[in-house]
Amino acid sequence: MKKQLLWNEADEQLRGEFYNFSERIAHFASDADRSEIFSDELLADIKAEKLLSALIPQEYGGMGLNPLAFGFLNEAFGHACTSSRNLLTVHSMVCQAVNKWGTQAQKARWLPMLCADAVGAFALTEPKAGSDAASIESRAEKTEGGWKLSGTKKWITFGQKADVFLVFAKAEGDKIIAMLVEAKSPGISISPLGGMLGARASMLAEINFSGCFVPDENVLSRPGFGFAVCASALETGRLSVAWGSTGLCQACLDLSCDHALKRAQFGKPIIEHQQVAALIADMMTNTRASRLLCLQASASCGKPGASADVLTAKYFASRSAMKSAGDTVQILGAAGLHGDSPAGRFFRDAKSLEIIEGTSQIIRNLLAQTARMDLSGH
Amino acid sequence: MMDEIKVSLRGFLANLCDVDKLGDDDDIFAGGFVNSLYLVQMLAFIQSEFNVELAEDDYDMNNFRSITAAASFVERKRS
Repeated sequence: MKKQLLWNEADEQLRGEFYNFSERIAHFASDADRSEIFSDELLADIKAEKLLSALIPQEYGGMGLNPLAFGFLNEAFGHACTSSRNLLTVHSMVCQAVNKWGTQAQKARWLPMLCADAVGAFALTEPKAGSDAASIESRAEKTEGGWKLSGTKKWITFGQKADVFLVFAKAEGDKIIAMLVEAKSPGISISPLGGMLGARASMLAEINFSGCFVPDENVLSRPGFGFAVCASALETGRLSVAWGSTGLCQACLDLSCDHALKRAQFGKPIIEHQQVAALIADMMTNTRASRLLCLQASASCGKPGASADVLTAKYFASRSAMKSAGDTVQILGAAGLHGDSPAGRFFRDAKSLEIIEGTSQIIRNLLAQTARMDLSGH
Repeated sequence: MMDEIKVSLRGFLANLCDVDKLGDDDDIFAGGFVNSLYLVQMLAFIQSEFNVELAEDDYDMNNFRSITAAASFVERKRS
């Protein structure tokens, strides 16, 4: 019996193509996790397929995917390798910011570059500023023709590979400013950050800016609106992570089911033991629920109420991924603890999903605030 | 019309700060009434509540500095 889909045939075909490509990514995932290196070969492959241009409009050479297709792409990447999905996330956040907030001249300059050649990274977090993003200490001082940027950004995903950073700093007092900074600019030093628990091939870096000159034409929107730029980019990032988490849930379900069917104890496959069956049933339910919330989030993108839908999807899907990954290790038993199985990587990667692009705790605060506004009619 | 917009803005701001202490012309930024998310939330609120589309030139903090400024901005955009 043919399964009834909640999306059309064209999107289903794209979904299939993305999942086919993700098998190529999966081939690299374990080595990337062990070595903490995202291979140039894989990056070149992703660029060649134009997948980094997912959110860039076709008029600038991009794929111009709708939010649903973008979600499918992230689910497929998340199924194969969380580090690869991280690449897609941060790069797409920069693309989204330029496309939403850039002038025509900025779009014409940056978007074709971000389609194929340049990797973008999102530089908000600092040693002393994470969830409290308004407490950033980086500063941009006005100078002739541009700004002198000083400060340190930390935990910058794909900072080691990026060609351009979307950097947030304070300017003209406490106004937040968003600016595009090329990695090759004088005054930038990039230090690799290794030893992460999960998403280990995400090429994290600490970026130091020492009076780095940023021309006026690289500022997105105006000083004071950097937080709005940041918020809209984060929404794209959260949608990406939500779908990626769903992909990881599905990967856990696939691995757990496969193992539970093949592994026999007490004379029958362990999936026939109720305790294991219950874990798999919960995993399946959470995977499907995550996907439905992601579908809702994609459907509401650009409409009023989208933020709450995206936050809900990210919150639920990332927690589901953590639960699913923990249960996967449990179902696989000792084999799940060994490096030959991807279960351990799933488990470590899943933890990162509850932290990046807004911790579960911050998202709960935002959701509670939304509930309060809904109650008061706003 | 202007008064209706102000009432609506006050209703929205009540979720973010003590509006009873906020005069129509008070500087919301300078007065420390709101946190850094204010501008993000105000932009979203104005777009959805008043069905206003923002253009590049609209991103001027003076448009959102006070209740009166924001209400005037909304009225201008709707006229």
